[in-house]
Amino acid sequence: MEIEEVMAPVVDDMETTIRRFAGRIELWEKFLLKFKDDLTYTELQTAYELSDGPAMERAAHTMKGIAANLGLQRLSDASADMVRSVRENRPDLFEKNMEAVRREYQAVLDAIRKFAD
Amino acid sequence: MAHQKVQTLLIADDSEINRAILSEMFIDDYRIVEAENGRAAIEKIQELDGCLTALFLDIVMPEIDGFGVLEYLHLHQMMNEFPVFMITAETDMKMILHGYDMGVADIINKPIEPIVVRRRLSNAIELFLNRNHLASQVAEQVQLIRRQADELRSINISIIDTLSSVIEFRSGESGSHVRRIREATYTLFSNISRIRPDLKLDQNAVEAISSAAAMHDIGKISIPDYILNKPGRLTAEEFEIMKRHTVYGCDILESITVLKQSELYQYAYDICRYHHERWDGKGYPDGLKGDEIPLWAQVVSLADVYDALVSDRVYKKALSHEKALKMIAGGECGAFNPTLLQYFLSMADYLRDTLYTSSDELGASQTSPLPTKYTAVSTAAENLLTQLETERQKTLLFSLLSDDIMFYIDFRTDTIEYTRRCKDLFPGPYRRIHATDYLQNNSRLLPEDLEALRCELKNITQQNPDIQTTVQVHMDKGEYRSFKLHLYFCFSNEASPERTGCLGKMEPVNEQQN
Repeated sequence: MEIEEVMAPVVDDMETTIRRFAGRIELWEKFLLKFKDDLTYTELQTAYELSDGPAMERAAHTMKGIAANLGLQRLSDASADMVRSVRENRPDLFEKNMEAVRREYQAVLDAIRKFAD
Repeated sequence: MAHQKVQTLLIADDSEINRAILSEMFIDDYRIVEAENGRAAIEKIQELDGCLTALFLDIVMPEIDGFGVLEYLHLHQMMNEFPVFMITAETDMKMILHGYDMGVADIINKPIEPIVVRRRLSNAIELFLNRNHLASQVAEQVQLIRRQADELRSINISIIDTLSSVIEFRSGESGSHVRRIREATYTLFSNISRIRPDLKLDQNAVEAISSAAAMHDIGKISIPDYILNKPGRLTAEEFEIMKRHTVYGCDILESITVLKQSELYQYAYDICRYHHERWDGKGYPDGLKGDEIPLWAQVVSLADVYDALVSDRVYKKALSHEKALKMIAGGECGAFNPTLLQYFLSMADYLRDTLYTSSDELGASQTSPLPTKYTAVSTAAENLLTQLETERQKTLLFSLLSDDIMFYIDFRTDTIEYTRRCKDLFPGPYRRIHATDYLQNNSRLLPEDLEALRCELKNITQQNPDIQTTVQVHMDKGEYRSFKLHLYFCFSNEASPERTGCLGKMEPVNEQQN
């Protein structure tokens, strides 16, 4: 399947995303494949389970950046929410935000696996 | 410098993907070095040691974060070496401002726009290169200006010394006298400026005073030769004229408009005018007393007295260093400021060692090194002095070959030359300049004889070029003797011939012809 088709559900602005890679889709593909093995989500998960605020903030912040770079806007936004809730000291929102991140992350992984094969 | 080598970028970000994306953007044009946190970034910066072109810095990193790296750069004053780009997903204004406060060149938000970042990077690199290049260009220019200033200073010194030497030559001083006075003054004032900071004499002032010292006797050019070179004591009247050389020197300085604007002028004026004043007020021309006499004039006065004592003169031989100091200290050669005198005596040995012990009088000078391409000025003066010396020797030969009492007056150069026999009878130099002056003031002939001669002179033509007469001549012992005086006039070869000179011969009357 074409990568654009596959990634469409998790990428809001395909045109801008590809432009960022100077029109080189193969680059984007390369980084998406790398993202599949990226450990940031695992770090976030671990920090959440240990209720380690600073670690959560760091991991979520990193996730936000990577996701944004790759055009995975919804995942980036969910990560941003997480960062904010840690900074604003809102542990009551942790669970909700973590769930949102997990959901978006899973969607991205599913899409990537589709064209990875 | 940096742009001739391969340009290196350091990317510091804890996310491998982010590093990869940035790296991808620039890998074609730059060498990429990566660091996964602040500590690694600092290590890489140390390794690269001056070869880093730009730094991409993420803020949120474990161990040491972006701000930590910025603090390290500040501590080691490296913020001016290369541009730092803060790459952040941060939208927190406080953090952004903090980044700018810490001197980052630019803040780049994620997601990164490659085209924009590339442009901003090359702009920033260009700016840094220009800034550094400009700094080194300015440094080069400053050096060049300093070198040129030094050369100008050397030229000034050699011109002043040369002209002063030419003037002093008339009174039998050599060029090295001028140089010694300059250098002695320089040495003495270098120290004075240190031990008397209240005088506020900087290096420029010390050098100006030294140059001024070289010109202390330029007024002598206005003193007639018969006084300047008189071997015996000057009469009271002659001494009055001689004393005027102080004021004449000031007249000359005042007439040089350009000079008046320089720091040199005031020192030169004071030294010319006051170097013969005395501490007890009995000096000339103005009779200044004590501290009324400017310090620079006092110092030159001392240096001049010492130099005169330890040099040969027409009327005396050189004294030893110790004798000279004894006389000065004993107040036998003028009255001086007691404190200054003490100081001078303490420096005297050093001055003797540096200025007076070289047997080669033109030995190496420390204050006026002469760049070789500017010797034209001093060469001209040397040629002039050599010519004068040759003329002296010619005169000597002329006199030795002749057994008669003869003299030659050259109207063009206004000089008189004597034979040896003439000199034996009428003591004086072999060669006299400012002949007209001398002849007008000459009191050897009776007034009526002079008057008769003047009448006869009017009848002199090329066809009738000679006078023969008898005159009474006043001898040194006070008596008058009769001489037959023959004057033969020489003429030029022009259409209307002019008198170029006069040969004179004297024969004593009532003496046996041998």
